[in-house]
Amino acid sequence: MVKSTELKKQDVIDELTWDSKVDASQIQVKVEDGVVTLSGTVRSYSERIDAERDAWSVRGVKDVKNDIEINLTKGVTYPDDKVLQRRIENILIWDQTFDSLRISVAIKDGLVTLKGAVDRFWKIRYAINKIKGISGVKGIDNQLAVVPKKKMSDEMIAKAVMDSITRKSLISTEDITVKVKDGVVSLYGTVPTWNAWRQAHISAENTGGVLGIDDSIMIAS
Amino acid sequence: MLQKHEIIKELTWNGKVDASTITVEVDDGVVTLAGTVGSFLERVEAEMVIRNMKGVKDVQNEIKINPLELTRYPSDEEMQERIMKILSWDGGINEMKLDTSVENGIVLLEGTVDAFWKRSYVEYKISGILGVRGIVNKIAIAPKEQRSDENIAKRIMDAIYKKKLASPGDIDLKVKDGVLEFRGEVEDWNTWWRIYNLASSMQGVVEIIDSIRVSI
Repeated sequence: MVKSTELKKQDVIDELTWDSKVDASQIQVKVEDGVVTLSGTVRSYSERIDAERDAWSVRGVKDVKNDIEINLTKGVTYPDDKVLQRRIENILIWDQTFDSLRISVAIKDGLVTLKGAVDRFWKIRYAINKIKGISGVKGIDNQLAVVPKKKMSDEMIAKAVMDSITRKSLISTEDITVKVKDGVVSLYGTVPTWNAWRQAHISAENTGGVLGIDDSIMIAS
Repeated sequence: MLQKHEIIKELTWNGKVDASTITVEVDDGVVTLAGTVGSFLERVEAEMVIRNMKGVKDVQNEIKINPLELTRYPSDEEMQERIMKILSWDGGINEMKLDTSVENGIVLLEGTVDAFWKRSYVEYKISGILGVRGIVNKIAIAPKEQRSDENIAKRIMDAIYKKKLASPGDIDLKVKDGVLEFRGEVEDWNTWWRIYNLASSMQGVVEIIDSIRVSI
């Protein structure tokens, strides 16, 4: 039985305050039974994502609920929806990763919706990472589908994901169970740190043929 | 003991890298990569993939970029324009303080940013752009908030111990005028990477130097 580190609210606040990528001055933190709830405001979507990631990295955290809202800075000119759409489309077109004719970008009041297809699952998070820091973005709704160039059977995908887990430094197939159905990978198990969780998630994300990931891995330190 | 065929399997499986022209040698946990890939992004990714493998002590990355035969790559001027636009569209970067030039696909970054993490962030923003064959990053840090050296050192070491990334005595940190110097030993590369990221995000950091060893 793994004894969990007791989670203290001050630990989460410290983590946010130390991170110079996040202006935590308007963020409120609640902690109950290892569950962190973040609320209040930040000035950009990428800070909202970074604040959640910071909270996840604190020892003893079981779950993070992110209710932070984006409050864009007063007095700064933000691009309107049409301009923002064109900018995001350009970023995707100019990147070597995308066959961008298959991705469509729609914006409403700073909320970005991505539709269409990519050929590998990791390209979804890659696209979000390239877009989240753009000035004026208030949120991203990803509706991209994965349409692989080569179809893989569920058995092949499961084997490839497990092989990859075996080669990683922080995780093993003793800690993590992999099930695959219709191309969707389900991950179960317990790992000790956020970095270990990330290695498991990336093992699934990078495997060819994966159409989706259902992640139930627990971080228990 | 890490084997060459496992490394090749890991490189081949992930789909981000065309590993067919990469050569791999491994000697007691030190991996040497050579050969060619078609883009800078693949060169970076190949190294990252290997650093996350069990049994890796260090990676020497000697991969060269051999651009693919495409009908059209953007010209150096087009690339420079795209780079400046992408940087100016980002909410966290003040592109007015940055200079970029592109020669044969090699991007030179100069100027300043106001926080240490932004130097890598700028590089990250442009590393995937079509045509980039290399990045020379000479961006300097002009921190917007000063912190005392003692304050920086204490915050970083407190965080390292609290997150159990090292035990007292494993790592030594000296801070002078915001320049961090780490010495000592860590368990694996991922632990050092977490320490480096943690230190990178701290206010007032101007540079990070290390002579850290990975002790597998």
